[in-house]
Amino acid sequence: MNTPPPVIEIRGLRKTFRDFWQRPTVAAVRGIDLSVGPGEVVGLLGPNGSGKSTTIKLLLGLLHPTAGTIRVLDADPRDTATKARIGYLPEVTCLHKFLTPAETLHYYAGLFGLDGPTTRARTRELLRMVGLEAAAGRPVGEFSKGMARRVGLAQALINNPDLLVLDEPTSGLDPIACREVKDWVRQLAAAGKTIFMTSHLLADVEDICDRIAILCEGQVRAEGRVQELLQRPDAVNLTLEGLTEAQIEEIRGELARRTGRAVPCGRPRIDLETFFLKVIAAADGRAGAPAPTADFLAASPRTGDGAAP
Amino acid sequence: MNPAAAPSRSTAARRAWRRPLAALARTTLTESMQQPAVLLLTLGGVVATAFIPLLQFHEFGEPGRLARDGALAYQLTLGLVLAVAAASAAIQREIAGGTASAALSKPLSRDAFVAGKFLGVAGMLLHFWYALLAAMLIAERVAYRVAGTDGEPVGATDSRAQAFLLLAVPLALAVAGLLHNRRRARFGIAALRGLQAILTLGLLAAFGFDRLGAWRPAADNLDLRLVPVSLLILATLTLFAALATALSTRLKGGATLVVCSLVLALGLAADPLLAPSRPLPARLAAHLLPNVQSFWLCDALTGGGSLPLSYVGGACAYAAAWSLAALALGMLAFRHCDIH
Repeated sequence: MNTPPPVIEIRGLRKTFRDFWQRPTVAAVRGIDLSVGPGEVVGLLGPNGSGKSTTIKLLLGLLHPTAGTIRVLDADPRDTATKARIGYLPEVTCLHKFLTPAETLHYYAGLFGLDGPTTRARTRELLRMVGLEAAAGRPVGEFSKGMARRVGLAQALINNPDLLVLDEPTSGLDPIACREVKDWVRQLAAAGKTIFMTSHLLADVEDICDRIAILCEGQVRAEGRVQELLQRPDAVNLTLEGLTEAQIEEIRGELARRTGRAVPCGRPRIDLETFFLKVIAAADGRAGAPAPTADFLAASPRTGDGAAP
Repeated sequence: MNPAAAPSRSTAARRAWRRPLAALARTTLTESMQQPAVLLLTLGGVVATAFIPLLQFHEFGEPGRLARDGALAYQLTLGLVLAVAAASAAIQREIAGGTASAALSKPLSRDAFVAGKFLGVAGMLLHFWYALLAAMLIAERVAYRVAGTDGEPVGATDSRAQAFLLLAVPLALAVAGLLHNRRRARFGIAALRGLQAILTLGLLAAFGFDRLGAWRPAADNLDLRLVPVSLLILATLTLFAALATALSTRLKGGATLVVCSLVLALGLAADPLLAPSRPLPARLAAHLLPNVQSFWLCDALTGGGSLPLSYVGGACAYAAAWSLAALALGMLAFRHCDIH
């Protein structure tokens, strides 16, 4: 059985920035090897200046590598036909501030060469998905950071891409919008999209990604499946419900007797995000309406499937 | 599938680059026209042109000459500032702001990016030029001479045309304000388009009515000899927009402005530099740089003269060739630069 080629294949990637006189200034990426398979959700983590955004720009052909090779969807990242299958959300949402969200999406659809009816249909679906239908006629220069981020996400999906590259997708969003973005990413992954993302928010990456790579000073310091990297193979958690204090003490005593040491015992906590969302949902009476991502995915043929010339 | 109905490979390839190019050019045009500098310089140019006829006592021995010389000078100077500033902003500001990287991550070649930016800026210049051309044609007919009681020619004023010209800008701003308030139209673009529409109505009226206000449609109600001279100025503006676009792929706005100013200064001095007595480097530079003198020909209209269309065609072809060469160099420079 043939294994499908990786969606992203990076080998020995190096990038050194140079000044006007071509003297090396910063070695941003120092020999990265990374592979992303079809349908995977891979997160790139790292502190500021670790080379995450540089790696993404190299993947998109915006920067030229100093050394090494990059293959994206089995082609050179500068190949325009390949770029037709990629959606990209930049770290800072860069929009033409005089355009409305609908005009912004029409502009990006035009860059993909989508025809008029396809553009109009996708614009409608995406604006509904990101919850900006009501603001479709306002210039994006008037938008809050979170609203602009939603427009950015919509433009990244205008071509219904096979590969989605997200640079800090939840940056600047409130917890509700963060949860929505994570839900969209999960749904897109379930629909077979490959997603490569960076984030400073470790909890977001942990929630979304199948695999992570931790970048520091331009090198991958750790890489693997999230569960495997975070799991402690020498320990186990038990969560029991409905026990009385006496029963708990009895179990602790038994465990201490068997292991020969005291066993810590406490009440499990839900995370703050879940608690916040419950409070907000209770306050405005909404029960978490399903995101319309699935509708968009069902309605939108891929760019390569005949929607574009 | 019927093979005859299927688009050919070349048709599909043409469509593949045409749509992205059109999308980029359209957005650049919208962005450029919405810039406050474009509105201010266009409205300022029209207002300044409208005020020239009020100074008609300085008519240099020929009615309307001050209006046309002044208006052409406004077209050139304001247009050059606009061309360089808009081209530089369209590329460098987008690179700095990140919209360039967002666009170039799409299936858009870097060559198409440069071409699309240039087309958008050229479109904006066309709007600017048309407004100032229309204002100049109307302003030129304001001051004229009639035979006095003693048979000597005396100065007279087409006060209707003068009043119309002075009211055009406030009226355009009022219309734009109304459209912005009622229909959320973009103010800058609405004002520019409104001004163009008003001035076009003025041109039609000027064509239909003589200076005394009588209905007498005639071509000589407007001095159409100004159009080819003004067309050469548009060619100059396009040429400098191409140069600024090419330079902006590598240089910041200030550096682009300095280089363009230098090219303009040398281009204006091209004729003396071409003299055989000049050293070879000077003559070579004069051949390589655009000869701006070839495009500034308002003196050709003195004493009722006009500009041969063959000359206009040749000069426009020269400007087009120079623009294409500058853009080609800009594309080459942009292909291998990093977009941060």
